[in-house]
Order: sequence, then structure tokens, then C-alpha cells
Amino acid sequence: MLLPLLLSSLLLAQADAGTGVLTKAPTLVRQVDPVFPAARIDAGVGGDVTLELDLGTDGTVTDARVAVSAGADFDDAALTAVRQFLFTPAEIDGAPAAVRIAFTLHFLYRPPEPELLAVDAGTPVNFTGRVVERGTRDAVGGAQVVVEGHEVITTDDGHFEIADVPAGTWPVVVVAGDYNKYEVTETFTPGKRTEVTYFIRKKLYGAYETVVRSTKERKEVAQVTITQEEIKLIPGTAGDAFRVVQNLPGVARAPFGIGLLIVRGGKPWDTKTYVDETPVPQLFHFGGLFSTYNANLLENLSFQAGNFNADFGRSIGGLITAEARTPSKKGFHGYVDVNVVDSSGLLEGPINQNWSFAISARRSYIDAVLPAVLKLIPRAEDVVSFSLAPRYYDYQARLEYRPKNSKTRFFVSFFGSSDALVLALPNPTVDPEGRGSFGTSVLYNRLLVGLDYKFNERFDLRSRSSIGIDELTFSLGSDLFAIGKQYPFRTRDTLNVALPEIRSELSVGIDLGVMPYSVEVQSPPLPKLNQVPDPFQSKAIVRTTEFTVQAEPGLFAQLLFKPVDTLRIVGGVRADYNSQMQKAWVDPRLSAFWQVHPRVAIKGGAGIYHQPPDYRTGQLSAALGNPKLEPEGARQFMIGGEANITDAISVDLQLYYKDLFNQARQTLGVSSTAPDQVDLRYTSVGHGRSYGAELLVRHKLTKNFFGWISYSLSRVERDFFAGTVYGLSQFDQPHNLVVVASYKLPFDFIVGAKIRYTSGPLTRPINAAIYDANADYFFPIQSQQYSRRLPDFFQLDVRIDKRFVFQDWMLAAYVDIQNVTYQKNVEAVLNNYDYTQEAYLTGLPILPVLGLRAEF
Amino acid sequence: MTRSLLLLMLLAGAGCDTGFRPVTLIEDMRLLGIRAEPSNLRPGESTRLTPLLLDPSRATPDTILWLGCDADPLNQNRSPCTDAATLQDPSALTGGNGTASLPPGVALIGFNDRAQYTVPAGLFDVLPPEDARRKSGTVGLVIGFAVAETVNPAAPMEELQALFDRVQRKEVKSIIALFRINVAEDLERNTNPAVDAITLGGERWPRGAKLLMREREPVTLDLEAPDAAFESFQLINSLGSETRTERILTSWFSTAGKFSEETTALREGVKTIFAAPGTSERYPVPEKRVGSIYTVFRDTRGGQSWNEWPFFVCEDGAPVPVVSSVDWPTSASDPVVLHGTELGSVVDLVVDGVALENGAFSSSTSTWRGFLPTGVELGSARGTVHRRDCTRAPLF
Repeated sequence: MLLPLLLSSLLLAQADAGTGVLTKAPTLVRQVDPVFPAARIDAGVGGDVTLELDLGTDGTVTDARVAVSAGADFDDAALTAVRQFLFTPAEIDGAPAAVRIAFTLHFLYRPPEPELLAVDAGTPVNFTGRVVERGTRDAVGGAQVVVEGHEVITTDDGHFEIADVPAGTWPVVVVAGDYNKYEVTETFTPGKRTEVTYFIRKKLYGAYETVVRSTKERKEVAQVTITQEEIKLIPGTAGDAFRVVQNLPGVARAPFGIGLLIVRGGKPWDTKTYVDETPVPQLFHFGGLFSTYNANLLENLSFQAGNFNADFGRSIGGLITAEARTPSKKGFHGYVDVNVVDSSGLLEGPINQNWSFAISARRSYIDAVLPAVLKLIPRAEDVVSFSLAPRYYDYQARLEYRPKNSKTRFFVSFFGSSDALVLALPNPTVDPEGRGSFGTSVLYNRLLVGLDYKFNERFDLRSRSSIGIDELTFSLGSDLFAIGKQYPFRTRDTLNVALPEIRSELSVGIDLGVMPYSVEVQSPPLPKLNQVPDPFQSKAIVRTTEFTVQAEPGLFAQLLFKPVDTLRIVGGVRADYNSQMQKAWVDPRLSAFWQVHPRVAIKGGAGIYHQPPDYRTGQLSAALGNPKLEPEGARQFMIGGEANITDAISVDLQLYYKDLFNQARQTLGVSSTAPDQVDLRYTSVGHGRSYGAELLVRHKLTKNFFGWISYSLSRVERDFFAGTVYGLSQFDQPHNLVVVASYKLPFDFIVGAKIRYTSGPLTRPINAAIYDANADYFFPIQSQQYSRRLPDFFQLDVRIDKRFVFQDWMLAAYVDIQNVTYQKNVEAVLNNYDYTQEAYLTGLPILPVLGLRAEF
Repeated sequence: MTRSLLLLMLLAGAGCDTGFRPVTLIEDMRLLGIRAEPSNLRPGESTRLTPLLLDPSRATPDTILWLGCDADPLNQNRSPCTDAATLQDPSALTGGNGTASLPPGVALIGFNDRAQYTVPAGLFDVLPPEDARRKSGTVGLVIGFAVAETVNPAAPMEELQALFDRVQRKEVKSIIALFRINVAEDLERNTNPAVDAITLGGERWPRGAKLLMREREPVTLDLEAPDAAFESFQLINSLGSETRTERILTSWFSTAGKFSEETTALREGVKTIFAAPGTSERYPVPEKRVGSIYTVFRDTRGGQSWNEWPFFVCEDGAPVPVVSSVDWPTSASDPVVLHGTELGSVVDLVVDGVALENGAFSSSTSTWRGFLPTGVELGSARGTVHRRDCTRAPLF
């Protein structure tokens, strides 16, 4: 007969710009068969009608539209039917929510057959099986299996059973939404049960499946959240989540494109990165090609260029927070990724119904490749060779307990990273003392325990505690070195209290850090800012060993208040103390978000921010810095608006002003020979400001396309030379435009492109050069102002992915090419030996990253 | 980490030809070294300063003006003479309108080869007698201001001011050099490094003889120094006292041709390869086919010295000289005189491993004459003739 098949897939969500997790998908509980148009029966043809259904919080269909037509008669029949459907309510973050879904109705024409055999309840089952997705082996629930007049729907785990299939050889048809129709012939023998597994092919692989915008309450006014699928496909990032941040408004391009985050003109130290609310001390491996935390393990990543709330502190710049996802509970999955730079792998799967695990690792092989490359470059090995060529690795392991449909979550995560290199310099050009090698290494390890627990409808707790070991080393020859070791313990515990009676939600928490750390430095005295360095000082070695236990207790409280449905006000305050500095500070912060129209909102924020000076560089060291420095501070102000032009396209505009004070600055060499002259080395006299506008036009993930346009207009100023000079900061980058787009093509191809245009980097002109007759080199005397701007930067990156789907696994081949147009972007100025001639140092001409990725 | 990355980036760009003048090529005024004799001082002592100032672009000598700066007994590398703002302005450095307005702690100490720096006897009086900084020491500072003009030290101030103005406008090349002299109580005297000989392709080259090399030919150059040149010394710093042996670094320069390594260290394995002139327009064969290689030695304790090694770019097909007779000198002031044919093709006459000095062909007498270096006696050797075509042959 005629077989209208009803199959759905979640594709879209509500237009609200917030984000959340779909904790329960709507399922069809009342189905009305559409009327197969008579003309189509006569013609003997079928068709597929894809509709967009708006579901209310009670699961009723509140609206329906045809997205993909199969003809007016099919469309009308489909609309008439679906308007009578009833679903179970969808839930987002555990609460019923209105959602938008795509729904495909298949009108499958089958020629008339003899009357169906009535199925006797006592009839034995002689055809069982499971329907799974080809490539991933994920169960396909809701698929319709048809054989010789029998029809069944697969269960959530993909199983089906059919009784009393007559003996013989019959065609079997499997149809499911978003899957190609699957047809096979099976032979049924009397007295025997036929057991099968059907691998059905998804129509579209590789992207854009999971996008849910929910009604989750927003507390941040300047936040951009990126989803997993977006992360994977942005060109020029090699699928790395944290590099994606470099393409967002407010983030300047770092020199050479290395992994430094310069947010709203702040120095990299001003911006902090957290994974599962645990600080990550080193965000990128050498060269900034990849981050030290596997992006594939992330649920999402949020970036705030400023004006974040009081729950995070000790940062005066931006904030990056990433959350790891729950490892797969739908069978064992993973991948092996091999590219020209490194290899990585991941394995995840369930342990039982509530527990699952994930392990992953990455290891570079630059150390194996680079020496061979050096051999190919004439004389390169005479210039530099590596005792230990650059190498890095990172690892992540996670064990998580998360019962189905429960708010409780417990996990243990162990992750870390290590980078190291030792350069051997075969001639004594670099250091007259004959220190012919330079080495550096950086590693961190973290053991993290997390707990989410909902006591009742009013109270829930979120706890993250970690311990770790960090080490940072530099060495020059055998006698100059710096070794910093840290053993940080951190805990963040947040209690959320719902106060519906006053339309509020209160969050209070502790943010405690206890960090024993040692610094062992053997070096000459630091050179003075305004003095030509003395090469003989390299013999005047001073050894400094310090062990400090730095306690950083912090408390925060913030209230989300909704006086009316369209207005959200978040007020918060946090208090911090640093035992090493013996300084305490209090930071009040306020932000508001007003939905003035269903598609338009205005927002604003103001707050005070503080952070300790960069102790990693010795600024707080008694021997190398000044332990009495003040905490560096910033006053941040932001006002902006958001508009949803369409359901897919949104615009976010922010204007900001950031006033910097108490910035740590190196002192000048005072021309005094008095023996009691105290050189503080650092003082807190630094000040500056940044201001600008940031625009983000974003096309959300839809079935085939996503992209964004990010534009930042900014100005950054600061003082130099211990506060004696004021001018443009070296990080000033007035124009920064990034356009990102990715489109999914037929045959499992995905292409993407990224364009970046920025103002050129700033340099300080060289006014003169002094010949150092002892060390035989010219010392450049630069202008005190960053007054020379180098040519603008332009780069086009392209990424192409092609996926091959096999029965049990998939193979993805990709090429991620940076600087396709071979643009010779100027990164710096090179000078001849006496600085009377100059030339531009351009960035890497073109960098293709080819890779293969096997997923199972 | 960032530094290492930048190194890699620079390495990646190392293959790019920037077109810069090579540091090793001496084309115009270059100040290649400054020697103090003695090279380190105790409070109250003086030292004489000598520059290696070359300028093949000018027929008349360049000028260097010397300024001495007070040493900082605390050795904190802070002085008006190392202050970047002062150093970038030559007129301010030299007082502009007269030495009376030199920056505090700065004094004029000489011109050209006549300069002397003196350390005050009470330099360390600000420190307690037992203070370790008296022994670890500090540095005396000297600024050499070289200009590519011949200046009369007795010239009126207006004339000097006009010169400074031309320098300021970059119409006259100038170099400001900073030189430090180690100063400490009870210090061990440091001797400026001494080098015996140069080797060419592994062969110890006769002293005073021009290095013979063919156009574009790469030759390996190395230097030999006596064991005594590598002095032991006590390194005193906050870690304590340690006995070390000097390193002697060599900076290579030439008036033509180019080096693979700009700097090498004696007895440390890495040698420089000199590509003889003629490789490109940048490195043409010099006029008269002669040039010089300069090696400047630094012992990393402040000691410096230098050598000039003349070279001759051989001429394929040059006539072969034939020596028929030799007039050997009867006194130290007499020359060695060669008689024969095509003696214009004699580059050097080497006697007992030492080349004759001031050897030259006289077309008027058709003889070739040279003088035995001072201290060298005739001995029993017969001598070797170095020819323009790079061949070497016994005198007879």
C-alpha cells in the first residue's frame, strides 16, 4: 500500500541567542498518517517533504512550515498531518523548552499487495536485528523496517523484531530521517530466525548536526560561545578550539601568528584560560599551531573580551572558559589523526550505564622532521642545530559519572602538556662566553575533580578542585638558567540558589588558590631599560633561589535579578587576597541585558578588575623584581546591542573603554653611584587605556553553512620607560577584520575559508646604533615610541575536508592551507649589522597542513 | 618559548637574501676593535687606547675622538656613558658647543692613537674595605667617536660644531663605540691575546706572506695561537671563585671576498671558509688583485688584538718568473735583490718561513727587492718564490 513514514531529526532551535544542552529530545507520541495524494498513487511515485515544526513546551505543534517541498499535494498532506502530531516536551538543561525541529515525511509509494497477514501475538519472532549508522555504529532509533507487509519501528537502541515473516526471499526496506533509504534482500527459512545488522548511511556526514540554542539564562554580556562543530571546521585553525578564539572580535593578531592572546590591547598575561574552571598555564604548544588541550574533548568554548562577571577574577583582560564534555555513552568511539606536524588519538566509551571514560594524546614529530629539513637547507646546520629539536606532547584522561537524565555529575580529569627544545649554536656569535646552547621547556600536569550536584529545585552546587605540577625552564649554556616550579592547588566551589520569589538567582562561591612555587635563577643582573648592556655582566652571575607559598583566597557573590522578563541585571562583587604581595582588593561588577524587542537587546557592563603582576617573569621576586608591587588594575566599561536579523543571522556590537592602572613597569637605570641607592627593578606606576568597537555578524550553524564576520576597531595606549613616555602600545591594532565561512557540499565534502585583514604591527624606529667594541656588535637605540606601523596584514586560509564512510569507521582527509595567496606579510624589520640598512621579515609564505583522520 | 619560535622563524627566513652589506666586508669607515694596553686596571692605573679604524674609501685618515666616563664602583650598569638617550646624539655627547658642557662624569681623553684612560685611585672608597665588589670589580667606560673626516684636534670649536652638524645630518659617516675596561682591586693582569699564524687549507702560511688564492676559490682559514695565549684566570662573582681558561674569539673581516663564519673561536673546531673574490658583483676581484683579511681577537676578559693578513688573488696564465741570481744582504738595512726575468710575477719571497717585507718589483732595474724582517736572520735556507699564478717554487 501507501507508506507515509514519519521520521524526524533535531536540527534547529529557538531563535533565542542563549545556549544550553538538549537534555531530552522530543519524541513523537501521537502520529496521524497523511493522506497519500490520489494523483500520486495513480502515478506510482512518492516524495519527501521536509518541514520545520515549532513545538511548544507541552509538545504540541504550534506552527509548521514546508522547508523542502515535494509538490503542492504532498506538502498540503504533510502539513495537515503534522499539525495534529503530539510530541513529548523537549527539555533543555532539564527544563521543558520550546524548540524548533526539522521533520521529514516520506511518502513511499509501494504497489498494492495482497492483504497483510494478521500478526498473531503467539506467532514466533523469526526476524530480528539492529539498525546502526554506517561509519559510527551508533544505534538508529525510530527507523522503520518493512518486509513483506510487516512494519516495525526500531527502539532507541536500534533493535527490531518481526514475527511470522513468511518463508521466502523478500526485499527489506529501512527508512529513517536524515538517512538514505536502505534496501536489501533477505531469505527466510521455516523454523529459523534471521538475525541481521543493517548499516544505514547518513545523508550528510561531518557537520552541523548538533546545534541547540536554548532559553538558558544568560549572565554574561560580552560572551561568544563556539560549538564543537564550528571549532572543527574553521580554516587556518587546524580544528583547534583555542585558535578559533583568535578570530573573534577583540582579539588582535599576535606577531608571527603565534599563540599569544592579545585581547583588547592587553598583554597576554591579562587574559586567562580555564578548562573546567581550572587555569591552563600554557595555552599553546610551540609555534601556536595547536593548543595543549584536545579540542575534541570540549563541549563548548566561551570567550569574553572583557566585562566578565565576578565569579572569575585575577585577570584584567579577557576570559576564555572551556568545558569538557561527557565521554561517549553510545559505544566506543575515537579517532587517530595523522598530519604533517603531529599525531593524535582519542578513545572514549561507556564503562556502564552511568560511567564513561575518555583518553587522548598528541605527540609532535617536529623533532624528527626538522633535523632532516635542516640538512636540506644549505648551511642551515652551521647556523643552528638541535640537541633536542622542538617537541611537544599533551594528554587528557577523563572518567565521568553522569546518570541519564540526572543533574548530578562527577568526574576525575587528568591532563597535561610538555614542550621542550634545546638549540645548539655551533659558532660563538650569540654569546661571547661560549654558551653555545639554548634550551627551554614548559610542562604542566593537572589532576582535576569536579562535582555538579543538585540538592533540590532551589540549590545546586558546582565544585572544581585541582592539584598540579608546573615547570618552566630556560637555559643558556650550562651556567645560566632559570627554573620555576609550581605546585598549584585550586578549588572553585559555587553554590547557586534559585530565588524565584524575588525573580533572582544568587551565586556565591570561593575561588581559592594555594601555590607553593620555587624559583631558581642563575643569571647576570637584568639589563636596564635605558642603558647599553654590559657584556661583562654576563660573568657577574647571581644565583637566586626562592621558595614561596602564595595563597590566593577569593570570595565572590553575584545576583542575577530579573525585575521583568525582558531585563536581566547581574551584580556581583569579589574579594581577593594575595599573600605574597600582602595585598587585598575588592572588585565590584555590574552588567545588564535588556531585551527591548524579541529580536533586539541592548546590554552594558562596568566593573573593576585586578590581577597580580606576572610573577612568572620574576616581577614579584625579592631578588629579581619587587614584592611590594600593587595589583595591576583595570576599570572596564562596555555598552552594546544584539539583534537577530533572521533566525540564523545575528549581529553583536560592543563599544568598550578600559582604563589600566597600577601596571608593573621596569625601572630605569638611575645614574647614581651612591651605595645606598636602591634599585626597585619594578614599580607600579604603569598606566594606559584601550577603547574601541567590536562587531560580530554571525550566521549560526544551519544544515550546510555557518560563518561570521568579526571586525574590531581599537586604540591602545600605555606608558613606557617607567612612566616617562606615553603613546601607542605595541599591541595597538586599529583594524582587525576576520571573515569565516564553511559550507558543506555533496559527497561529504566541506570547504571553508577564512580571510583576515589587520593593521600592520607597530615597531619602534631605530634612531642610532652603538658599536660595542667588547662584544663586537651594534646595539640599536630605538625610539621610545611605537611610532612606525608596518604594512597591513592580509591572509586567506582554506580548508577542505572529505569524508569516506565505511561500515564500521570513517576516514576523513583534510587539507588546511594557511596563506593560500602566498601573501608576503610583514612581521618585523630586519637590519644589517650596523642598522644602516633594513629589510622586511615576512611570515611563513604558505603552510599546508595535510592530514588523515580515522574515526570509529 | 617565543624566543625559540622566533629563532625558527628567522631560520626559515635565513635563506632569504636581504641584500645587506656583509658585516665582514670592509668598504668604508669601520671601527673593528679597540685595544687597551694593559687591558685591565687597578684603581689608580692608566691604560693606552688604540683603535683598529679602517677606511678604504678615503685617502686621508679618519678621526676618532675619545671620551672617558667615570666607573661605577657598584657596577650596576648605569652611567651617562651607557645611557641610550645620550649616546644617540653625538653633539650632546661631545658637549656640542665645547667640552665644558660634557655630560657629568664624562671627560675628553684623547684623539686618534693618543688616548689614555685613568681610573681614580679612590674608586672603591664608597665601599667598605671587605666588600666583595672591590674584588669582583667594575668597568671603566670609554666612548670612541669616529668620523670619516680628517679633523685637526686643535681646530676651533666652530669647525668641530660644523662637523657635528654634518654628522647629525648623516652627511658624514660616524661611529660611536663603547668600550669597557675591567677594573678591580688585586686583579690578575690580563694580556691581550696573541696569535702565531694563519693556516690556509690546513697549511701554516709563512709569516708576512700574502695568502695566495684563486678567484672564487673557497679556502679554509684557521689560526694558531700559543698555549700561553689561553690564560687561566679566577672568575669571582656571587657564586664564589672559579678558575677558568680564556676563550679567544676571532672576528673575520676582509676588503674583498666573503666568509662562511663571521666569528670563530680558537681551537674549538669551527673554521671559517673564505670565498676568494670574484664570486659576484658584490665580491669583485680587487684592483691590483690584492686585499687584506683582518682578524680581531677577543679573550672575553676585555683583551683585544688584531692581525692583518694580506692576500693576493692569483692570475692564471701570468708569466713565470725566473731568478738568475740573488744579492743577499750583508747588513740588516740591505735588501734582498732578485735578478732574472718576469720578476714582476713574484708576489713574495719566503726565507726561513718568513716573507720578506716591502717586497716589490722595480721596473727601472728589472729587479725584485725585499727586506728581511727585523730579528730574522738569513740562516741557511734558500727561499721560496710565491708567484702570481699561485704556484710556489724554490728560489733556484
